[in-house]
Amino acid sequence: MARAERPGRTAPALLALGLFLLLPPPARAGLLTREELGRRFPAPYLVAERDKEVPVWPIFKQSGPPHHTVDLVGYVFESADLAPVPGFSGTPVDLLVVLNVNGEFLDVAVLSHHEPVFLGGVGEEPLRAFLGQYQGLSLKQNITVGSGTARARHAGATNVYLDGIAKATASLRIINQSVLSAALKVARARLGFSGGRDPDLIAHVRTDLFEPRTFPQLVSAGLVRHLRLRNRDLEKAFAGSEGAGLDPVAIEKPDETFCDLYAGMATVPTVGRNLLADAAWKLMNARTQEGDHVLLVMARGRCRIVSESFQRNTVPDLLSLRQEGLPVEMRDLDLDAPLKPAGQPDFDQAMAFRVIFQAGLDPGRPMQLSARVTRSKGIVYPERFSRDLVLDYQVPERFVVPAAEDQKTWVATWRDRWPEIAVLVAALAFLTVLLARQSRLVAQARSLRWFRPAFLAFTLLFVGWYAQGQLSIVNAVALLQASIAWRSWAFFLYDPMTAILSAYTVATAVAWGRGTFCGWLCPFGALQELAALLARLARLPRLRLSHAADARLKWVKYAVLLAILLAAVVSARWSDPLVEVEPFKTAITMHFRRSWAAVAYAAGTVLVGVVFFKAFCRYLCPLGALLAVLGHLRRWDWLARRVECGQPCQTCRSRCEYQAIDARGGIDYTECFQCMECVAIYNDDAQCAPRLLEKRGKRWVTTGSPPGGEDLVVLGTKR
Amino acid sequence: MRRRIFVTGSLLALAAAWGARARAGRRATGAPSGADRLPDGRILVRDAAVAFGTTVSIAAVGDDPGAAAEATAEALDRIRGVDSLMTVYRRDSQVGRLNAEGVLSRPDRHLVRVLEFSKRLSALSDGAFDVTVQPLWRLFVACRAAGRRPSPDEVAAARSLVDWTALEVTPRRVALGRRGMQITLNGVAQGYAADLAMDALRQRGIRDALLDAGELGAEGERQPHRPWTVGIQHPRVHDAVIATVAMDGRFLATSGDYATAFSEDLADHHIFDPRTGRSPPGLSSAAVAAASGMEADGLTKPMMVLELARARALLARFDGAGAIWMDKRGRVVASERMPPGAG
Repeated sequence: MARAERPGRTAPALLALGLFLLLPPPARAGLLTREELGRRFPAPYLVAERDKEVPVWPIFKQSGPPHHTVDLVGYVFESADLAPVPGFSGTPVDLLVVLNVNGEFLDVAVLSHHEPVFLGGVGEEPLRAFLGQYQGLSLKQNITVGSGTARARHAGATNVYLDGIAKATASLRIINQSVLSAALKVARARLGFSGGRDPDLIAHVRTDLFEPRTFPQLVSAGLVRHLRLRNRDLEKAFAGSEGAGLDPVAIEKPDETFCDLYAGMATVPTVGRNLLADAAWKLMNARTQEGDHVLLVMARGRCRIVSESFQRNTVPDLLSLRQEGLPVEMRDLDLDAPLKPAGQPDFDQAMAFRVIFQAGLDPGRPMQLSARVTRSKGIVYPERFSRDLVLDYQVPERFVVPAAEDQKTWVATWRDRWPEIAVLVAALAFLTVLLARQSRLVAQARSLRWFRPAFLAFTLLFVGWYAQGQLSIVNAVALLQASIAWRSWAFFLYDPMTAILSAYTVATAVAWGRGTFCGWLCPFGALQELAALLARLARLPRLRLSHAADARLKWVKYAVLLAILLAAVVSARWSDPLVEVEPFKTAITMHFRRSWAAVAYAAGTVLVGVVFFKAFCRYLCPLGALLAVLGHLRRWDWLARRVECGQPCQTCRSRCEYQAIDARGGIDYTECFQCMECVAIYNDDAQCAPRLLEKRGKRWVTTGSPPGGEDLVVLGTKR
Repeated sequence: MRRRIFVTGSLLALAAAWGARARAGRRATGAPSGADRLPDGRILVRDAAVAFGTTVSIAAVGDDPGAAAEATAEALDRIRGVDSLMTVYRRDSQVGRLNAEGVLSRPDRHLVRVLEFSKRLSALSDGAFDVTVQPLWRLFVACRAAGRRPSPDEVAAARSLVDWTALEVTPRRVALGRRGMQITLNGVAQGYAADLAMDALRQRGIRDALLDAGELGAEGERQPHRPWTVGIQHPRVHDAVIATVAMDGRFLATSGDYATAFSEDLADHHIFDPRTGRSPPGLSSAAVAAASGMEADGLTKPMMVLELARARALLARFDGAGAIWMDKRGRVVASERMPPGAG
């Protein structure tokens, strides 16, 4: 579940570290109180207590005689609470917005801003005048800060252009974005503009899924939508109006194509990486934030995406985007020649438009892209007639992570996945019995030889790659963060594999030590061990660190764990990049399909683990460290040892690949992976030296006492 | 949401407040913006909230503006609490979880109380009241979205899931006996919330108060010299009332075919006859005055569904309950225990 919550964080640790330093600061608490708002809106208005879920205050109006009624007028809110769009100063402009129940603006006022242009420059009066223009406008209209020409040409009932302020255009656009994004959220959450669904639950683009596709394949997969309009169709759209018959070409050649319009969501990697030139793809990613959307629009024929007078980096003048009846603002991303030079039709125009994440566009639901076609009549003062061509777009289901709402309740999830759950539970039961009755398992050294690799293969293939049950420090961090925020742990139940494995792992860590998980159930551990096994079969060399170096390195994982836990307490933004120390996500969850740096790191970890046996698990793994700490609760030493172990016999110690047996023969359960190697030796007459001697009626003689940690025991027999 | 009752007539206290507009030391006490001083020196405080998808407002008269404001805030808090517990529109409410998972362990005591009352009313009304009608509601909403009427087969299928006897209610567990069964408390929760709110006001010493939730009203202790009267919305004529009711400490609730209709002719609407799966054909509106909000709210549904004689018999089972009916042709009938001024 915790993994699912962070779809597409494909950047490896360093990149993520770099990115989050660039993110804007988290939204600060609003400035206003109910009392303050009560003063701003005196009787007959009545400002109610702040909504517990959405940062808005309902505002009511009391009516006088003859009917004494109190009716909801709308909602008052601060834009910075809902859509903190950073301004030029880096801090969001905070605006007080009053929206009525029909989605019309009753008032917009400044609460705080740090925009340089209004602080010195032109002063605040023009800003107040600018905000006054919102009064009476509806969220259902396209509201844009307009330049004179666009305004003259396209103004109308659905397109509204606000008068700008010279030298302050950039700040005003940010302010308009803040107002519209915040108001859209309120409209969706409280005015029923989202069809009764929870508006915060929107689907996200799967950034981890990329498939090479040609242009026609993208169109047939629905990733790029195509609208073809013949002259005849356009003429029909204008039929009956004064705009009919104004286009001689359309009448002469009715069957010729007037326009081919294509649109695709470039932030879907399968669209963006297949269509955009490499430089444009990089530029797009640099200019957008996680959660932003970029719509790539391409046209061929006699229609246009933007007019000749269009200024780059502004809201397009001929295109508009709507979802569920509400306009969503797009802005030119200013990508020059965005498309790959070859591989797609020749377009007359191709542009990329950004929709900021604050706008709450849901890529998983239908959206409508309208392109305006205008005809004019007369020359000196031409009359203009427009029609909108509408292209429906929706990212196909497979390429988005559905909104959490679409996910079923946890009971249903468990019911749906019962075969996997049954297999896992059976395997765990089997493992428990085997470990509890170790002598059975190791009765024949040969059975351990095949059983262990077989179980590890099951862990890797079924638990890891198939059922996606790789436990991770992320799970622990998520639980910790949920606890700090007093949120329920219920989210854990939505992933039955993780829930079952976590419970089993905690129980066994306390009873037997970390080894049950680390040695048997960790898919990445299994991957390393199987790789090491193959390497051994190929007779590749394996190196072993000295006990002193090993002992020191073992502490590193605790430092990693501590760093992650501390970061988790502070903020998810700090812990997110740190948990990338785990290659689990790359190697197991994503099947090595991630950015090259992440893949290199994961593959490198496996390779190092082949040379220095399971080095990641023993020295670096924060989850292993956490389980080792839990293992300190273990109350009994359950792996069988003899008095001779360590003193004088060092067979197991030198054979233990985890270097988890100390010089005195004791097992260090915080390092033991329960591979059963020493238990097998213990039970094997041919391998266990004390046993061998006992059988022959001989006993140990030492020729020197073993100083702690040195492999200098000499084996001898007494005649 | 269309309003179904109006506070009208000689609402002297409020009228006086509107005339005088003398604001009592609001800034000093931090009272909300709806506080006014009455001619007799007492303070009238108004507060409102959005709950049950409608506006709930409270007017309370007290001696101290701060205390009165706290009392109304507490009352509204309780109302919102009931809403978030019992709404069907959110999956994380207790009712939402029950509907999704079929079972709810450790139900909130308020939920248990409402469900126990619902089952009692179902038994007394021979199933004319039933909280398990939610599958019908969902069917009609889905069909309205698709722009059609549900077929008789679809109605029969949804109706087969309506069965209050299959609803298991104990303080430890609530369970739905059949897969696909769902409940809605939209017919009683609001009344129960009004009960809690009026309790909260009384506990904080407010005797003189009026609660208005659009389709449900309540008053505190009766003030003989200042009767608060409430008008019941005419189901067809905007801004007209079919009756004015002098509130006498009882709760008043209304149901009507006009509030949430599924068809233009108002034949299909949000009140279902659990026995047929369709909306009752005869009546357009019913209003009930009863000793508690939950009784008044709950009783309006069987009043809409049952034939007159059986409806009167059911009313007689509740102390002090009275009703007023209007049929689709505009004829009005009132029971004997409807307060003076009715009809």
